[in-house]
Amino acid sequence: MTERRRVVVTGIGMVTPLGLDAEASWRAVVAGENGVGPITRFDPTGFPVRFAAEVPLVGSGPALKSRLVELAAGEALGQARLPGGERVGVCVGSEAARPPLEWLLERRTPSAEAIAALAPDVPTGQVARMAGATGPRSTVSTACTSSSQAIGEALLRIRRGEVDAMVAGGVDALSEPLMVVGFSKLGALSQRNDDPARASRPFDLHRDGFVLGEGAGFLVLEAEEAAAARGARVLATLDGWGCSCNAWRITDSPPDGRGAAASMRIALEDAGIAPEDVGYVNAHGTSTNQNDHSESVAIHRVFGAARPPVSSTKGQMGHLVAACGAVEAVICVLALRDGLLPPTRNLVEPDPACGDLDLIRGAARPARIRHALTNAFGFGGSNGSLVFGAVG
Amino acid sequence: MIGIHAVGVVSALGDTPEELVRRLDAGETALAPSAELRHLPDPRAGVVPGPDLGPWLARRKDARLLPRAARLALPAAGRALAGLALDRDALGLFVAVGREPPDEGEAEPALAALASPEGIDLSALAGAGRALYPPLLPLRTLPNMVLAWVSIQCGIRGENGTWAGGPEAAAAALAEGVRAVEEGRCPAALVGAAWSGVDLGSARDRVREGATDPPGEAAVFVVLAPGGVPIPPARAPARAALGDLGPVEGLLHALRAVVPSPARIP
Repeated sequence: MTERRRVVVTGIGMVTPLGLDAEASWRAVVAGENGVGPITRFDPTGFPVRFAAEVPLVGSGPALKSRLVELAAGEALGQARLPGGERVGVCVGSEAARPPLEWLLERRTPSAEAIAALAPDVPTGQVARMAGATGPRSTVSTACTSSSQAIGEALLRIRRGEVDAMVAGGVDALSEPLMVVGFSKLGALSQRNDDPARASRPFDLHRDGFVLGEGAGFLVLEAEEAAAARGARVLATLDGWGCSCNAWRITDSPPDGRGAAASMRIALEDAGIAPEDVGYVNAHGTSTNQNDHSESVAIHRVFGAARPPVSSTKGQMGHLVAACGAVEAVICVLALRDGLLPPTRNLVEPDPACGDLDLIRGAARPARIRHALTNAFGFGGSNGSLVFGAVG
Repeated sequence: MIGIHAVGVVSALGDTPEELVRRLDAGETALAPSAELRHLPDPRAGVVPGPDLGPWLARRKDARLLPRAARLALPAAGRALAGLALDRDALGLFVAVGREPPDEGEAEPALAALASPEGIDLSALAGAGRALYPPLLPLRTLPNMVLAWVSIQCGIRGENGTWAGGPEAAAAALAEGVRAVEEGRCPAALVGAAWSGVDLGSARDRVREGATDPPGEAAVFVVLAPGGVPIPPARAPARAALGDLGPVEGLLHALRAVVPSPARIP
């Protein structure tokens, strides 16, 4: 049997509500800082939810998404110094941008270009142009699992030898009137308007929903031998990818955590490691009752007595939806690099229903670890788990 | 070799590969004037009658939660899987879709509440508009709802993904399905594409973007596993009979695996 290609990370970039680059965001994540505040994209007076996790950039709609991609993918590409060409592909987790209310009310007739700019694959083309990548490109749209799946697809394409490198990640921006109204009516959003900084509280007994966010994350992934041949600096290895469906309900996760557990198990098998080899789990941890309970059951099922440290960085930056898998993948790379496991902001009183997970709260925890696993679970029931490894 | 073991289809010219091919070969067209599109320069569309979700949806009341593309996808997926003994816990599911599904008018009352002579009164969305806004609409318009509903109704729990775009999205889904089986990540895979562009909002956007073919709608699903019939090579789409089928055009050629030599299947 041919030995499969190892895949390494040679570039990372992220834009989050906590910072406009990876290092600034990472410092704030580790410090447990808050990225949630009053909505500024529109006037939310009278709305049931008047806060979100917005990035400190001006703009909205496709222009904002484009700027997020420009910054995050640009940072990753700049760090990797990746030469483009036909052996470089692009895979992006993204959804269609929402049309402005003026269009929906037919107060303004959009141009052909403006309509085309809403398409979900627009960020993919943008990244391909930035990277000079003429290899395969694809756009994954699986709600909150989108960018995790994009990274998984990139891993598989490199392993198979279809390409030598992939730029993979995701982008989303959901601080918009219809999204806020829709998700609040669904009962999915925290309504802690009097204290937005404490609204996103994954695994906490008093959690009441997630916080809509904005951001982008990108990674440059390469075959190990290709990175070595050009002398690229390796930040981490990408060792495993797992994916499953819940086949349960559109809005809920199964209480037995079955689908999430399957996704984590497959990722560990793919990485060729045992549960006790994982030194950190970056949970999907949305701060909803359903997800956090179901995910903790799944973590118990997979890791049992191994009890790896667990945190959800959505406490700091809310839920970046199609971008969350990629941003949290970048966080895992940095946790491996720095030997520092970020805390879950606002986790004051762990929910007993979530069992006895080793939840990191308060301060970041120093720990030299070999492997980190990150989860992303989407509305509709798609689950994705990625395993990253330390260098050396 | 990974080949096709079954095909399910829902189209404006029939719900079996054989019927679709026979009617295409007979020169039939599904394109007809649509009342909804009467104000467009070309009001024709290839609309699928129904479809009847009866056998494919466990709870009939859930039908209102499905976007149109998912209503087409469920019978197509169900027909492809019918009679096959597959381990659905491990079965892969790879789906191609177009843009975000339209809201099919459910948001209209809420949006109407925003309209004022001065422009848009956003505060109305917090009041009367909010009450009128359908709670499940944000989820119903997510691009992965085809995958979600097929997974839920067919009990599929394996590796999965939704690719967004045109025919190239179906090519990506098909390639990932083949490789997932080849590489042993799934024993078999259900690969599909579903699309509906016949509502006014979608059709109007296509016109504004310069599209000239009338819109259509369809779903095609295939079961891939070791053995079976080789996947036929793709050809250029023929829109004259069915309209623009978006990503489904990237999977129509799979029908040739079960109906040999259909002259008009791309």
